[in-house]
Amino acid sequence: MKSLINHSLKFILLTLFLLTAITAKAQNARLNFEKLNGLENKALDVVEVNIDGKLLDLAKRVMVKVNDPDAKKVGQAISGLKAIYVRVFNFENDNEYNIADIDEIRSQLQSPGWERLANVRSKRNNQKIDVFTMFNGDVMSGVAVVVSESKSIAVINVIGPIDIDLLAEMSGKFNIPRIEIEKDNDNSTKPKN
Amino acid sequence: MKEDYLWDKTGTDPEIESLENALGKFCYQKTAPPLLPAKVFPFRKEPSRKIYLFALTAAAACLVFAVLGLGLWLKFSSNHSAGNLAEVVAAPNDAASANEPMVEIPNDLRDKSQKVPVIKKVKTSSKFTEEKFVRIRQAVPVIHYQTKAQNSTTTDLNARLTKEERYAYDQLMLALSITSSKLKLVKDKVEGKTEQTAFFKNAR
Repeated sequence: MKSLINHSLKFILLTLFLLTAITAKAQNARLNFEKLNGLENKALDVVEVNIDGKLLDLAKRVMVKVNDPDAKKVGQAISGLKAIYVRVFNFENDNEYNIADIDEIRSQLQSPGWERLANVRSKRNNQKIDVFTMFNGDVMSGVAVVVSESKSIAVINVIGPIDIDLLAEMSGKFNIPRIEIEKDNDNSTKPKN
Repeated sequence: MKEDYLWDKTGTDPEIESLENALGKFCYQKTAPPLLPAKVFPFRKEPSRKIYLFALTAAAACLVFAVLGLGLWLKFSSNHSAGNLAEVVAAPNDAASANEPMVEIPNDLRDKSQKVPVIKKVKTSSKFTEEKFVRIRQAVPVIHYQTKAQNSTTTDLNARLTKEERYAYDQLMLALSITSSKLKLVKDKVEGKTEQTAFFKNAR
């Protein structure tokens, strides 16, 4: 009887460990954007998009409804998508942000699992672009794009498989509105072009 | 029976003497006291079978609750973002826009004559940023490369979509647009298209 209890406890612990491990594995393509929070006050424009869970399912259902070949292509490219998190900060002046903040994001991408797909460095605008991918076996589990320039930062974290080539090809073909971000205290209603 | 013998053993009393002889073997004999054992074992009551069964049942119940709890946690954590949909608030830009729908509608899904509403605050679903407020204003109604057929399609779509669906679609398109533009930028850089374009521009 005593051994039975011991075996039961071992089984419970093993089950909990496995469940925790599975949960951790599913989330490890997620980047932590906490360091970028402080930039909101400094930035002229901020774009923050978080799409996951039910919201993403809802959007996918809409993609199916749209009777447009481009939308169908996009729908196909994002069929396995689990989440997209986007942060874009535009600044008024050069070097208004702390480079350590964006380097912290890049350091997260040095962890095991992430593989560098592309690395662009340009002295023009002090531009640095990094594209990383993460694979679980043969299946893509995440993409991260980090773009830093003199006056702007953009971090994109895609979780789940996505067709990068198709998405790059579809650039400019999305039927989305041009947006403009305004500061909290700005009550101006004039559109800026 | 002489009672003197019984009390002070004076004289003789054969009856009492016979009794003494018979019971003499049970009398106290002065010998060494018994030795204590080297180790004293405390009394331990063996747990009953009921306790084992109770422990086993409790362990099984714990396992079931742990699995159920994990399942519920995963479910609600994935539902969290959908719950924030209702927290999109229309800004009081002017009297008319205050009555606008609370959810942003893509411009290509909107009638041009309509005033553009403003999303004032969007509570995000990020785990790391509990409350973020982003103000997004649609500046220019843009219908870039749409044909009449596409316009009619989107108008039909507009009629069919709920506010939540429009919001979700809009957010996804925004995210995909930013993602695709950055990926395109990288692709062009890697393929050297930017340099070529710059070269041709300079050549002109």
